[in-house]
Amino acid sequence: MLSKQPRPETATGAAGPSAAGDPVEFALFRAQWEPILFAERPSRLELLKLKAPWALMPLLIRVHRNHSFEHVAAASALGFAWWGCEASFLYSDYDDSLSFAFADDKRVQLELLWLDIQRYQGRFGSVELGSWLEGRLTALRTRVSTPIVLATVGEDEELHTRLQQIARSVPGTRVADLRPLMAGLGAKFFDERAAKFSGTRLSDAASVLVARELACRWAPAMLRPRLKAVALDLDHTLYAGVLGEDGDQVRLTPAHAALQQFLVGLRDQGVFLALVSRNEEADVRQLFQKRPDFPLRWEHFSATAVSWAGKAQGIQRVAQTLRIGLDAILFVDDNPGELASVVSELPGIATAHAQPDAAATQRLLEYYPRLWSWERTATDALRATDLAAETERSRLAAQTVDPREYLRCLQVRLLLELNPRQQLTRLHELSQKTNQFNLNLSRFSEVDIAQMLDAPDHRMVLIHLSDRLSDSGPIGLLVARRQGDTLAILELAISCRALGRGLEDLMVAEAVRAIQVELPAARIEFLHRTGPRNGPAREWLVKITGQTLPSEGRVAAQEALPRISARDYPVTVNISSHESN
Amino acid sequence: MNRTDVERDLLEVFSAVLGHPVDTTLTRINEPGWDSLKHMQIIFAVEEKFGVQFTEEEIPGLDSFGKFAGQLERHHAA
Repeated sequence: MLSKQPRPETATGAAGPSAAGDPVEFALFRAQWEPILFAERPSRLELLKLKAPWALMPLLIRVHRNHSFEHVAAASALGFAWWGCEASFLYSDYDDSLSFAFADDKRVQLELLWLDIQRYQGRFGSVELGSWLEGRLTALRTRVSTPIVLATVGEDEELHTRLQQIARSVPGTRVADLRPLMAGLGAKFFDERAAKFSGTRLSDAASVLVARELACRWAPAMLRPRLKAVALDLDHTLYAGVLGEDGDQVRLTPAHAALQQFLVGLRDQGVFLALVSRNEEADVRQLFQKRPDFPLRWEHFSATAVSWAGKAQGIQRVAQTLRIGLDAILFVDDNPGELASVVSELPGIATAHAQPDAAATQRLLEYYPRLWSWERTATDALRATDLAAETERSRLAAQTVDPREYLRCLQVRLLLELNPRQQLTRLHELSQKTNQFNLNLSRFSEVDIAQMLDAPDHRMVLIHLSDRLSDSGPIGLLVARRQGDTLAILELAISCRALGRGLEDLMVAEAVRAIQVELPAARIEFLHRTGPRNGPAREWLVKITGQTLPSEGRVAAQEALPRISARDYPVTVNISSHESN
Repeated sequence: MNRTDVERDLLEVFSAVLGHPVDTTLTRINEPGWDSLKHMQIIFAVEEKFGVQFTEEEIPGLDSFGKFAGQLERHHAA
């Protein structure tokens, strides 16, 4: 069976360590750290002086290297502490051959390949080096199922592109791009004195910046689900000035314009934007109408809570509108009092203190742990548009008494993809990020998923949903394994965006039916487990099987599922089988 | 910057890099945490704090608190 790696969890889950003490105090601590950690050029000395006063979860990173990493590691503690971890490192020898001579250690949560490509010059051409590295990465993947980050210094464009291709073929592997840091520092990226005395060419400035990349971007993006929404204050955050005093004459500085543009880009990457402001909604709408120079438009906000009520209340409304948990929201405000007030009422929420200099706020968001992503997927671009269509769907549902008529009006289409190997990233995302309709909370890694796609007794279905209002994209995952005469459903996860259309029964029944064509079985059992938020999935299972559920276990459904048929739904269902094992 | 100011700031740097309080008698021989990698981190942090850059020739010889303080005094006097 597949081996599961322990998954680091902070005391309060994904958002931070706040339950280990006073969440308000810690939010304010972090606000004080922001100018140091997220400075354009962070200072090693300033980073070293600060210590987290809260409990941190251990995080063990194994570094396979051909040049020293200790300068980076020493500067990374504050960045890790920011999101609740205390990183420690296991080091290989300086090993150009990447022999991976390490003892197995189940505590390791991340593998980092830290290579100076200059050391291979004269021994390999770019093409040969790429092929050799592919072999070494594959060899490492056969030894471990933990996520792998490959971070190289000094590669040319051709090799970098090749490494990106290689990473796509080795599950759970990503290639870090240090070239922007090199471009930013120029000649100061390297320090030949360091090469002579400490085994790496990287300068102090470069080491500190790489430390921030590791702690604030690479590690959280590999180990934790991404934040789903940024809830923004308005005055002094998105522009300079106060709407209530300056009206539509508030100032859009060049830095605020860049920040707004950055936020639009985040939305295009699938992160919802929300507005949480103490103002009159009519005034705010008018502001966006009267300021065509604002890159951000009112329509860019997938949820708005503009009123004189408390912001915690507004954020709760945003979470309901977006159908996401509070721990998937980052709240950004220039007023520490507002941050403290929100955190005291909503302890799991992530916060960021917007700075008077919008460039500093932008940098804070660019590096905010769990907001940065390794890649942009096709599904990311669909997310905001799909949610916007929900308003029209709700209107239609209210007007239509017969659910079948509602579905007929929507012209719903389902596509079930069997074992879609090319969708590894999305399959992984659905397993990791779906909370409410997630039956067994298996939280599969990319490596787990790749292994299951190869296993003859496993099948995986990716469910796509679209209607005449929007394309929701791939929104559901069902994983099954045949054991004897039983088909065990190891996981069922459906994105919240796809719920509410009354299609869950059909999606699951058709997915299981498609699997049974290849893996027939007399019994069908759903594995289930109680989590903090998966009530909707459990309620569905109770409804479909008519059985009460213990906190975890297996429940038979071979009698219930066959009764559900596409013939009873005015829905087009297509099945695409990529292969038969 | 006089010797007292230099020593005060230098103590702050050493304590931050080594992760514990130190005093002016500190030497590389009597501090187990002061290995070759930590040595370069001390160099980086001192350079940042005092706005100086040590030469390749100076770096290996800076093996005590006192030698750092003396070298910094010379840098500032130059």
